[in-house]
Amino acid sequence: MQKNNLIKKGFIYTVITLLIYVGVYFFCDNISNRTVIELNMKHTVWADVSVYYKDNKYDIRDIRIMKNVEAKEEFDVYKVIIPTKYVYGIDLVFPGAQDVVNTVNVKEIKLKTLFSTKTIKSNDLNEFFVDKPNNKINIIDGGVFTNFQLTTKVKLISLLISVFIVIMFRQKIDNLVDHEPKSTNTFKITLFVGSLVLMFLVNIVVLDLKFSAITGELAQKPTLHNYNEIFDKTYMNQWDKYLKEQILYRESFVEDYFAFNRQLQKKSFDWRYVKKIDGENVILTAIDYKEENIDNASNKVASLNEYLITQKKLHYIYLAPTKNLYYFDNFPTYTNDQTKDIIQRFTSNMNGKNLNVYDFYNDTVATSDETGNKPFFLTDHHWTVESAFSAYKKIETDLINDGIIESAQVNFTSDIYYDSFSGSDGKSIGYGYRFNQKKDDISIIHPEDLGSYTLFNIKDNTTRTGNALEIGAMEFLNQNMKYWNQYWFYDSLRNCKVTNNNLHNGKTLILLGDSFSRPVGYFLTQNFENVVFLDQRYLDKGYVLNYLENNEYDVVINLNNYGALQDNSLFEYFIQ
Amino acid sequence: MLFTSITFLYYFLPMLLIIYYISNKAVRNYILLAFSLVFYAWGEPKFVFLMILMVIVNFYIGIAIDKEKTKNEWSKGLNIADKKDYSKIYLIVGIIANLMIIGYFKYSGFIIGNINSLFNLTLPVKEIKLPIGISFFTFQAMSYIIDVYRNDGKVQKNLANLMLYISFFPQLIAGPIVRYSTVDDQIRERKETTSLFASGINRFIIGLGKKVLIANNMAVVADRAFKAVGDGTEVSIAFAWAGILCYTLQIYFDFSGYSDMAIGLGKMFGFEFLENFNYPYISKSISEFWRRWHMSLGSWFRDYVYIPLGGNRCGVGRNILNLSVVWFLTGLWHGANWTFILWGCYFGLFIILERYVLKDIISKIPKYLSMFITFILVVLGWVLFRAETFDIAKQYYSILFGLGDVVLFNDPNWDFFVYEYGVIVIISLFAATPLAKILLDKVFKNKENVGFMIAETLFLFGIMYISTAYLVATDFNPFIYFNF
Repeated sequence: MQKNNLIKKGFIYTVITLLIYVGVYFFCDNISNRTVIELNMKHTVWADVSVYYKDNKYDIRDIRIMKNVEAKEEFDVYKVIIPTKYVYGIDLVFPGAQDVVNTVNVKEIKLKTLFSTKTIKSNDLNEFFVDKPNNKINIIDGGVFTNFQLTTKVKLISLLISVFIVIMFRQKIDNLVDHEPKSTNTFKITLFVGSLVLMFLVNIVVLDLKFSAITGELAQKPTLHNYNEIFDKTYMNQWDKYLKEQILYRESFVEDYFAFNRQLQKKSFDWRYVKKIDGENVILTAIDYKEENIDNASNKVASLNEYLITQKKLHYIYLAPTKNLYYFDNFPTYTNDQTKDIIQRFTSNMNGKNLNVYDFYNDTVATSDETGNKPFFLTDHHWTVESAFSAYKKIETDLINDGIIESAQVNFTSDIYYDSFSGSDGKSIGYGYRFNQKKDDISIIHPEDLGSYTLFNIKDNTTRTGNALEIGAMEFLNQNMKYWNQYWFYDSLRNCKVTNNNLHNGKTLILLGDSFSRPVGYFLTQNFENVVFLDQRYLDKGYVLNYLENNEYDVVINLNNYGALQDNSLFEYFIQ
Repeated sequence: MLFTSITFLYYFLPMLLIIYYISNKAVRNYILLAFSLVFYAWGEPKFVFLMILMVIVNFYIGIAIDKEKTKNEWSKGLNIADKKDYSKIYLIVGIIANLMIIGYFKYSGFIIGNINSLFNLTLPVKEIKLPIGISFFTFQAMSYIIDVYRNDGKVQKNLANLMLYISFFPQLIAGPIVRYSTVDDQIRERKETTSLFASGINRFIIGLGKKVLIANNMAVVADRAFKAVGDGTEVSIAFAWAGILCYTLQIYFDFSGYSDMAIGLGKMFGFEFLENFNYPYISKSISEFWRRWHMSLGSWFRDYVYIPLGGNRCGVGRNILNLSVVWFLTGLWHGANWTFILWGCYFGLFIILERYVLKDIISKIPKYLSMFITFILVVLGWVLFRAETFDIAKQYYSILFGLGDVVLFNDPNWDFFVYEYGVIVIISLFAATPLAKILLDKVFKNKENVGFMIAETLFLFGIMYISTAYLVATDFNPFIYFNF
């Protein structure tokens, strides 16, 4: 009996010691699970300064430090906090340096966690003096740069604290051993209160993050501007949002929410649906629409057409298909996807105004059937490069038939980047990091002869010159960053004029559209000396008309995807 | 502040637990009071002053009533000639003051609107924001002065203690309506024990799971069904039934979840509140349903309205009148809308019928059949409760009973319900009955053993983790008590 009691006592003592140790370790581990990166540097080009890092569990993630920072002639410290203590590498990205020489001088880098600091002084940083037109600089690249594991000292101290606490409360623990029912309660209370208090303390102590790699910008600690903010509850609402978004393990909670719901057989999250097709998870996004928005799009496009008739210019209207129509039968029956209604309404509106609309849907499907390539990304709503290329071929044929251009005298070639693209649809519903969702392969189709191009950015009046790959900022492709992949989606092709320096036919195309139209426009640089990309969503109201009135051009192409037709801002061509 | 928020779970609660338990017993009530006021002010920064004012008014009325009563007893003891007893007048003044507050905020718009439509007037209807939980805390305030008047509770001479009784955060915004006589002693003196705390944890986490994991999910289907009917979209009979079934589950798990959390939190601080729900959906009659559903409200109306009116110790006619008044008021308490009043009257009617007409029939009906009939009647009642207008309720009923041009199943919404929420509904239905408890009692005969302890702890912490994941990942957290 006594022996049994001794074993029981030993067991309970060990368990309690371990529990306290786990708590202390959890606390130390988590409050130190942030790295503050301080970059003391100056640069000559405006910067949207970002830091790439790899964390221990996941993939490459990026954190922005600041947006639209003016060039700095004096050294300045940029600070960013990343949610890891395992830093594998850091890149700096300067979108402002696409077209000019950027001189970046990094004086010092500090990497700090709660328990250790690593400083790299300027004399170790020779390689970071960059003097070339580049918008990405690897200041720390490859391999484990620093791995701030909790030191043995911290672990030992944690253990000692645990033993100390156990000794302090040995009398109470003895009582627990003797009164079993009470020990059950104490165990439960310790776990509950312990977890809450630990989470509370860690959340208080741990440094706030600015951005989450999955969900973008995070709420920051609110500041009280006036007392009205208290009485109208704005201030409290801001605190609620801040505390919710800065909670420890936020991304794990978000991903587990989706995982749990999938176990409950739920397939839809807001407007997104996960469907297993041919063994792969495809994320489908249903589209809702308002009739008046489609009518607005039709009217605006028709008005533009009337204007172009007065200018004696040709105007082509195309529609890019979206993934939800292609996979329409795979949506659950209860999905309220209204894509078909959108197409039907837009097309009939346009036909009613004696305007033809060509829908690339059949070309996209035919190309996919023919080549076996996927027409759309699995993890994103955009069409693949192959689909965009098939649309280009059709447009080229139309333009040749109308005598506007000649066939492009180039051979195209394709480079495939396997498992290298993770779209926003996947991320937004928790697919990706945790469940090893397969990333998309991405093909880059480009002219064999890379040639020379000049890209004039309409937004900031900057110019950049490069070959067919360089103007697409291909270096970002294998880095998983959708919106840094400028070739397909990013700012520089949103509103710019690309000049093919090797083509001297004097033809200019105005391409009005959205992100689906950009790759098509890229291919059309082989037929037009100038291709002007205009995405009205990111321009002042009436910009398009203003541009058309003040510039020379030969033809206007209007190419939008189905879903974009309900976005009024895309069609604000005129001020009225 | 809501219990189902990160702010409450991971900041407010741990902070309060730490401060409360490291403090001296003498200041613990003040700590609870301070945190309760912060809790309320977080969601109602303006109306917290109204609540404080209300407490002060009731505090002095309580003292006045007590003084008057003491004076009279003293006079009686000394055989001094009868003095006039003003305690009743103070009580009436107190009740009127409380009713005026709730009347102004909750019912003035409704009353003016009805006067306008009745007399074809255009009196301006001012939009008045309803303070959260006003129906709960005014009823508690009234409970205090009535209990003091009746000598059911001792007068509270410490303003902070009375304020704690009325504003104590666990029951402040969604009940249960705690009667002063039941907590009077606990406020003055209570003992926090590990067993009470541990059972509080169980109740709190179960309540959290009920609200976040079940009620919020059921709300999606219920909202979809009522929205579709409100929008005039075609809804099948099957989906209309699914929608109201989900609402039936939503309101139960939402309300009982909040009550569980309140009771659990109370236990953590040494309070024992009375139960508010007892598996109402297994009731065999409407009368039984109301003995199992929102018990604190039922007993409040019974003790403070029904019995003073004469209760059932009177003739049939008078008793029917008493019941009608109580059920009219019960409906009105839930919201300033005729749908709520009709809903209350609907239940009143069945209770009167059960008492005077169906009594013998009910006793002869097989147990499961009477349970089923009661359940269906309750479900049908929820249509009135959930519908924003009579027209929507009427339309919903006509679909439920297949009146007009409606289909039975052919409705994508039905597929949505089956494929997306089928599993959760089955779990919810199971959880709405005592089956899980019975099963657990059979499997774990000895709940003190290590196996049970580990299984229970894992289960509870699993619920806590997943509930947190829901709260972090979504913004959908409907609050059903704004009308109350």
